[in-house]
Formats: sequence, structure tokens, C-alpha cells
Amino acid sequence: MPRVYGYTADFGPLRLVPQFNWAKFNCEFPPTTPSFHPGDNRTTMAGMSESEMNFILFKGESVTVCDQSNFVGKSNGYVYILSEFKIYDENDLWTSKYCYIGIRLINTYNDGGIIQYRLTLSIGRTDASHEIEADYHYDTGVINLASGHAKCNLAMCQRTYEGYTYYGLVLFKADTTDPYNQPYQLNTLWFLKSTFGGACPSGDNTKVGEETDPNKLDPDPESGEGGGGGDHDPDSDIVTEEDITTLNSIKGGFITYYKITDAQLETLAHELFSSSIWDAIKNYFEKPQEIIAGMMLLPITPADGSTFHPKYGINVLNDVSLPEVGARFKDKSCGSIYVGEYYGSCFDYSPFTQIAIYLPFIGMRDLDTDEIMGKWITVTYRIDCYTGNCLASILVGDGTAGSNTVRYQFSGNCGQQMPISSVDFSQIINGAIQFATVAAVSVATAGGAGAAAGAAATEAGASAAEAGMIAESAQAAATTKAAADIGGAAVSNVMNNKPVISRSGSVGESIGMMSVLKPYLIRKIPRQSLPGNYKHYKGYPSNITSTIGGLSGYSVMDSVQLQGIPGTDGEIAEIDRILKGGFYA
Amino acid sequence: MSFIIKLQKNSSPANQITKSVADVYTFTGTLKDGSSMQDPVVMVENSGAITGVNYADISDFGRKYFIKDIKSTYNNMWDISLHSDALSSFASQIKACSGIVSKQEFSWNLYLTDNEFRCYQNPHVVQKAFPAGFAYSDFCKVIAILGEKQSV
Repeated sequence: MPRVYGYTADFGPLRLVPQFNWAKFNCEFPPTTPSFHPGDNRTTMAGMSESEMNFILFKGESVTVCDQSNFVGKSNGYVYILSEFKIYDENDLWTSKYCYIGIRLINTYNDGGIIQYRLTLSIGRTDASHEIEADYHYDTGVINLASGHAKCNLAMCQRTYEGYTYYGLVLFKADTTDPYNQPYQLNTLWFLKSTFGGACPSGDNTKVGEETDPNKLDPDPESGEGGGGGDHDPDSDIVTEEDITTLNSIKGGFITYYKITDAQLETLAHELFSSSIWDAIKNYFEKPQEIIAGMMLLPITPADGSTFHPKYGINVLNDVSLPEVGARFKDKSCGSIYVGEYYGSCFDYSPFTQIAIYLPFIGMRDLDTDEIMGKWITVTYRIDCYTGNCLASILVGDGTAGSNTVRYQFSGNCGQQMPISSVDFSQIINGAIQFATVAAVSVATAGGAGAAAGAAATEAGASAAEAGMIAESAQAAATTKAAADIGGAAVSNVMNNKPVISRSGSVGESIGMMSVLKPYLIRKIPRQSLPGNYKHYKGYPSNITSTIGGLSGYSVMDSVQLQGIPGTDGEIAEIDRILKGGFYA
Repeated sequence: MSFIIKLQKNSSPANQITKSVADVYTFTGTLKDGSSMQDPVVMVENSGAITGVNYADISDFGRKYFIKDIKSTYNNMWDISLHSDALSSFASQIKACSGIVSKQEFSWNLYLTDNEFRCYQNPHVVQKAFPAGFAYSDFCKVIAILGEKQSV
């Protein structure tokens, strides 16, 4: 199996990520079909099987390519690149011969055509003392190999790995003095011509085709937001949680909370049931264990406080030394993931794409796709070590420092009450039965801001809980589909008729401890059926103002003002019909 | 009245404004009585069959036409039924008109919805886990005991 380094599905926006600043790997074999620069005097290397190849795969965000005097370009596809990498083996030695460094281009606007491009991948030393540049021309093959110090002895070529095509180059190490055992960084990625998302003029300044998005031209009042005089101010505040150290100052008075191990619990029980202690406190309690207010299993380890012997009056339980729970509240971070667009189109947003999140000890909750798409999602728990209550906060940010804002908060209970007496035990069992009954009743919950009703632990250990489910949309009610929806139905019709499925019931307390303990997102993305060259036959949504003469290719007018046309009424009506039905300029 | 009529072969779609045409025949034709400018019937004389044409240009009328029918009448006379190609006839004036474009081949924004997009019934269901969660190794018991505490 090929060994892949530095690859993750959740890389997210392009930025320097410490753990991916470098990648160690063994570079072993070249592509099976290398192509050489005519001037290269190296012998053809025997190709090896793909299973023996190693790849570095990079991921990043979609990028706007560099402006150059000869060409500029804009891509709405995805270009996966890494910011920096090193090339050496586990022993920090450059011992291998070849290394394939590739990038993957994804055309998110799949018109069924071939990605046409000319791209130049330039990698260089981080100290900028050495640069490799290779040029790959899709139409004619490699047209230029390495320039500068020309240590790249193999041309850029195309490799397929796990069904994806990568475009890259192979580095060849000639000898131990080769300077490649140094950190490298990806310098530039240039598109000369592309059919996806944004074509750019070719190097000779002839236009390939106006594939730009006029709605993104800034400023463009003809395709602006419109309105009646509002301030058009979309800025929002960053909402953050309070500092937990302030909350921790609230402590119990007559009750002390301790962390306790199984061995310490046995020792405590032994001492409580000893005649010396029981004789001392039996005037106050009916049973020895009544000195214990409660016991709970938490999924986190509270902070350590000082160590004490429990004491009641003058009676000290000297056999057991217990660390006090140092802080009542503890934060637990579950990390962040990036929710990237799959299409780069309206399909990535509601109502087409639906997103729900599973939160341990809380259950499944719906999220507003529009709010989190293209953002970093961070989940943090704040746990009350005294009661077991937990609050999961979902923060949304763009990946830059200080951008995370609290968007959702859901509450639950993660503490498993542990019985101390027979009364406690029966109440816990009854509570569990109530759990199952309540969970069977589907309750639609709003996926918006604000805490859902949580499960609060009581002395009995039972609590009310709500079922988690994919929230019902206003349209989703039917479980049968109209006949017209069978086979390639319009997206809106399909979304309206899909049934709503519940993914989890109550997962608080002990059930939560048996459930999945890591949050995860579930995203349901429609699978578009897009015929080849669709935009040529039907056009993509536009919504711009233009003269007819300013258009090229296929167009459909929504409304048009026909004036100055010396035709009959019938002819003008026919022109209007054709322009609104679709025409080629 | 007589006028010059060019019979051509049009290789462009009917809804294309600027068409690609090639001249095939040039006749002097006569407008049949009762014909309109939009749907004229033109009479021409030709000893052989008129073939390989589907388009006509009558500059005297300022119009281009689709050929609807070619009918032989008598003595090498042919009736050619035409329908006005308003799109091409008034191309320059049309191109000067403006409006709102709802769909376009090269200038578009896919963040605008389109009810004509179709999708399959089997969507992608993607599950992504967060990097960290709870772990059994972190589980801890907490006990609440009445009373005071004494330092060890």
C-alpha cells in the first residue's frame, strides 16, 4: 500500500499548521510513465508499480492564483496545497532517490469537460536560496522543465492515486551533496487557462472566454443587494464564554467534593462501617452511608485540590485521604473541524445540504448549514463536577485568531449517579425506565441558538431528557414521493419529500457513557446529476444586467427591453420569446 | 415587384443571433400576391431543383428568412415560402438592447439557486469526527461527603 504522509481530510483553510509544516517520507520510486525534457540526459528509469509509490498529498483552501503581468486567473475549484514541507527520511537523511510532490485540482463546476490548464508549480527552499520550477501544459504536454538551478530532473507529470489525479513533479537526488535535504515551501501555483470557475487570459493575452462571475465584481451596483435604505452592515460581534476561573469560586459549604478511586472507596466503606466511627456518628444518621451525600462517575478527571481526611464533628476518617475536587467546573475541548463546501454552489447550503452534530451525553442536534458552511467548528464542553451537568458550546470561526464566536449551546448531563443505598438504586432504575419512555416520543427541536432542555441530575438519578433527531423542516412531512419525483427529480422537490429520520434518543448519564464519546458531524449532501456541457445547453444561473451584445455563448433573458427594432409586432414578440427561451449570442 | 434573393445554407441553430451562412443560389424573385413581409412567398425561376438551402436573404426587405417550403409550380417556376428570422434580421438593434440575464454560459454564479438542477435520490452522507472526545481512561468518581475536612 502506498504510504501517504501529511494528508488529512480536514485540513481546512490554507495556513501554516505546525503539525503539517513538514512531512517525513521515503521517496522511492518514480512515476511509471515519466516524461523527460528533451535536454535531459538521464536514462529512463524503470517504472514501478503504484503500490510501491509514496505520495505527499496536500490540502488547502481554494486559492486565487497569483497575478502576473501576462496572465491572471481565478479559480473556484479546489486546489490542495501545503504551505511547507521537508524532504528527508526517518533518520533525517536524504537516502532515497525520488520524491513525488503533487497537487490535486478539483473542478467543482463539473461540466463534464476536461480540465484545461497550464500550471506552474514552484517549490523552493524556505531560505529562498534554491528554487525548482516546472511547467505543465495540459494541451501539449510538458513544455518547460526546471529552470533556475534545475535540480528537478523529471518533468511535471500526472499521477493517479485512489481515483484522484495529481499533477506534480519528481525530485531526484543525485548525491549526498544534493541540497534537497532542506525545508521546502510551495511558492506559487499559476493557472494559465482553466475551464473551471474562472478562466483567465492566456499568456499571449488572448481571451479564452469570459467565465468570470460578474456578481462577484466589487463594486457592482447592478448586481448588488438592493434594499430600501438599510445600512447594509453585516458585521457581527464575537460572543465568547465567561472565564471559567470566575465560576470556580462558587463552592459548596457543608459538603465537600472529593475525587475517589475504587481502592479509596473500599477503604472509606470499611472505615464507615467500623464500630469506632459508627458508634461516634450513629446519633446523627440511621445508616453509615448517609454521611455520603452522593457519588457520581464523571467522564473527565477534575482538577486536583489539596488532600484531606473527611471529618464529621470530632470524628476524623483517618484511614482515607482524598484529594478535594480542585475546581468545580472543568472545560473539555473536542477540537475543531473545517466544514468545507463540497460543490462551491448553492447545493452546499440549506435546504439542500443538511448538517447535524452528535454531542456526547447530549445527542444529535441540528445545525444551520448556512451558519457553519465554510467555517471552522469547535466543540467545547463545560462540565459541573458537582452535579454532572454539561454544557456543549459550538463555536464558529474562520480559522483566524479571535474569530471564534459561540453560536450554539446545548446542555446535558454526563454524570452517572452511583447508588449508595437500596433506595438510591431503585430510584436510578426507575429513572432509566423513564428515560426510555420519554426518548420514544419524538420532539422536534430547533437547531438554533439557545440551550435545549437538558437532563439535570437529581438525587434520584433520573431526569427528563429529550430525543435528538433531525429537526423537521417546514416542508418535510410526506413520506411518500410524487410520481414525478422518481428519477432525477428537481432538487427542491426531492428535499421536500424526504422523510425525517431520528438518529439518536437520549444519551445522557450512563447511556451516554456507553455511547459514542467523540462528537461528529453528519452532513447530507445532494448528489447532483449534471449532464456534460450543461451551461452550453441550458446555462448557469446568472442574474446580471447586460446588453445582449455584451453576452457570448448561451443566454436566457429574464426580462429585456426591446427598443429601436424596426420589425413588426409579431417579429418583436418572437424576438422577446426567443430571448427569454434561450439563445446563442 | 422583383428583387434579389439569396438562397443560403444556414449551419447555425435557429436561436443564434449571428448565423453562419453560405450562399448557394442568387435569384431575382417576385413576391407572390397577398404575401406579407414576415411570411412572404417568393417566386423564382430555375431550370433544376433547388436543393441544399434552408435560409434566404432579401436585402430589399431588410430581412433574413428561414425557408419553410420550396414548391414547384410550373415551367421551372418555384414558390419559396419564407418565415422571417427576426433575431438575425435585427441583430444590431437587438444587441443594443439590455435586460436582466437569468442564465448564461460564461457569466454566472452557482450560489444562485436554479430549480432546473436535478439530483439523484441517493445523497452523499458524510460523517466527520472531531479530533478529540471523552475517553474511558479519563473517567473519575466524585464523592460528596457531609461535614468538614481535615488536612492530611
